[in-house]
Amino acid sequence: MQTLAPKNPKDRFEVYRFFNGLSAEAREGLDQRRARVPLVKTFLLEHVAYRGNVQPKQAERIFRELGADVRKIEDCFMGLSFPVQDESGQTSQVTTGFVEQYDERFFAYYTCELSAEAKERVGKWVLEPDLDHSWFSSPLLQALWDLDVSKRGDDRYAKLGFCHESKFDIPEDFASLDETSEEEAEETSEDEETTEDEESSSEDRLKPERYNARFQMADRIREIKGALSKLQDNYAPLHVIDMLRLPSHTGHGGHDLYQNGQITNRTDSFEDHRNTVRYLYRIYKSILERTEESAWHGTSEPHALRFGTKGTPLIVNFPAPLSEPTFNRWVEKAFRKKGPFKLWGNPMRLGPTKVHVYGADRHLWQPINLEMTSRGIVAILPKGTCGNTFHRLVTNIQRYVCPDIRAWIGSEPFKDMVRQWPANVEESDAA
Amino acid sequence: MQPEALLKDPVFQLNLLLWMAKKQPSEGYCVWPLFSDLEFEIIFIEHPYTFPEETRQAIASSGLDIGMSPEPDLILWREGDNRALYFEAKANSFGAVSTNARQARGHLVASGPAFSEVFVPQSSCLLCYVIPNEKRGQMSDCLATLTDELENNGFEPGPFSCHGLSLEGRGITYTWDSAFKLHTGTAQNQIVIVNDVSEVTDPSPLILLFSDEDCGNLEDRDRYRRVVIERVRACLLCDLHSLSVGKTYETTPEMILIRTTDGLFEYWGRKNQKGLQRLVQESIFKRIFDHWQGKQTGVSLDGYRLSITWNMIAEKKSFLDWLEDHRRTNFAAARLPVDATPDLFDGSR
Repeated sequence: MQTLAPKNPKDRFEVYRFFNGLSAEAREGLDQRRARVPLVKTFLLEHVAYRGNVQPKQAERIFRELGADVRKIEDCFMGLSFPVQDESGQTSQVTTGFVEQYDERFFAYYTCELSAEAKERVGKWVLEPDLDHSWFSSPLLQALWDLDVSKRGDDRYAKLGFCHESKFDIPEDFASLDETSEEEAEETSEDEETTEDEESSSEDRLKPERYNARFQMADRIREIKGALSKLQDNYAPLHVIDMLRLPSHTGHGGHDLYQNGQITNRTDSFEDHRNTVRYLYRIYKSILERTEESAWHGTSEPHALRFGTKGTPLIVNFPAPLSEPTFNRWVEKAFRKKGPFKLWGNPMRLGPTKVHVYGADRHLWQPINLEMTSRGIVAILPKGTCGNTFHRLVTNIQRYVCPDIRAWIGSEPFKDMVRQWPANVEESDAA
Repeated sequence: MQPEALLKDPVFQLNLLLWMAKKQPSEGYCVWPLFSDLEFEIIFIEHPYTFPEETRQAIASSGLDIGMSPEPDLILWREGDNRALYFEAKANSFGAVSTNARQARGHLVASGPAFSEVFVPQSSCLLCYVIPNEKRGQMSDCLATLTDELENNGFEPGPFSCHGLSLEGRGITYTWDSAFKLHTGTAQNQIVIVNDVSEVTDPSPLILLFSDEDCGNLEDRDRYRRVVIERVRACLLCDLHSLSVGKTYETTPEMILIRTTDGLFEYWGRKNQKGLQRLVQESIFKRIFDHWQGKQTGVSLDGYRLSITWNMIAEKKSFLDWLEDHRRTNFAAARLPVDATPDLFDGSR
């Protein structure tokens, strides 16, 4: 199911009209429970320039370096085309989507490619150090639920997704398991969803039982409001919100926001979708700037007197300590090239369950210093390192290590920091 | 691992002081943020101090043995009432006739009225010596003797305070005296600053300092140098990953240390600067050059200037794969022999 985007739109409004038509058709398909066209989706991307050392690049240049044929439509709006193979195996240059540059740092990539293809394409882009996903951690999704979605009308429908995979957990009786065979199994399934076939073929392999919790909760807002906190109190993985649907203000359906900044349009209006994306962009941007303001460890410039350091650490605590084998597995895997944490470093042992790492964020190639213990993690962000690193770290710790964490930046609880949005982020947007 | 040994390690002590000035949560803190809670901020770390001209002349003509270039380990300042804390961390106490007394006289004079002339206008300063707790009394006696001596010779030394570190049960306790209580307004006498200390785990928080000294944990003597090496290596990797094929990257020990320390390096004392530059040159740059000499023509070391140019993508990949692999790079962190050339790194930038 491939839908061709306009190749030579004369302005952004032609693109809007195309996506509007597609959104209406997709909504109709959803209502009839039959997918007719792919859903329109947006990836909110961050351009990561190592501040103070590297000049930010123009969006056109970034996407050209990623292999795109870039067609500038307006100053901050451009079409991207890539060679795409069709069902018959023929390769042709196809417009896969459009990039709108919201500011020097944030880009929105609007696309109607199928979800798997779009994710794969964006996944390749963010492997390069210029771009990263925006990271909507669980505390931020929880804040969006508490402060916004839960107030959009008790009779509206909302949806939340939850996901925790205890990737590093080793039960005590598996501590002596042959790591190699297990690692092989892990490596194959690390970056992609495991299919049922793969699962059945590995049935006979000896693998430790780990919990892997995936849930979705779709109901009227009133019902979710009444149940959510009680459920979370009783089952820790429900603290890991990995998807939140923001019901449309103007009509049916909503916008599904994922932790990696993907927003899928399930309404019949592209303008409504774009307004939501821009609303989320303003929230995320303000939180990121606050993170950096608090966290950057470096010279304090505004005061001529000071040549010391400022900046506060990210501190994450687990409610119960990890076992020693689990801790060791976490440390070993966290610094692998293909590991979910995408960190580089050489762990220095300070004890059986304590290491220090003066390393780098492998994804962005920016420095980060970490203390990892069985009870949590402490991270210091050198000045200039993108605050995204902290948000990705919190997201991945909750998803893969411990679902119910307590985190602070300095003395401020992380969950409070992500609830402080400026007053002017309201959703309507004329731009 | 003997945690008591660390309490005598000035780098460990100073690192604790820095953490105590960082905002942290009251639950889940790494080191109890005593100074941050008292609203003190870090303004200088290991920053050389130059006396006002009148004081310098008075010292020169006094006949007393007073250190002319004091270098406080740390200075904290509270904006609300313009009060400052001037720290010196020591492994042990000393007597009024020891060689350390020269440095202590310098600190006492520097923390008097001269302090507000040099550092913070109208501020009042308290000199704080941090030592193992059992030596606090002796340290205090020595500073009192030196204060009397300076006053008798017409100087105005600043007030002083002695702070102790001790291991009590499973915690590291920080203890202070009435001078500190008076200066800061705290009512307490001591506090546990690090919890869950055990024989098998080193209690150090992340190292915020850059030092080429030996670590007080004898089983891990090279730790501080390894920390510097890892931080410089991370900085090099971050720079080099964004270097395009055909472009040239050039750096010197001084330049990479300025980058790695976010500029703080420029404000440190000459001795510390020089030790770190030697470490980077000998342990990292020479090792890089020795390994790649004859393998990649674009890697050269001209004096202190390391230069890297890749002619093809395969060269970049193999260089970065090697630099990322600590087993293959095997940068040596052992203490370097004493350097006989005093100005080795002058003009190396």
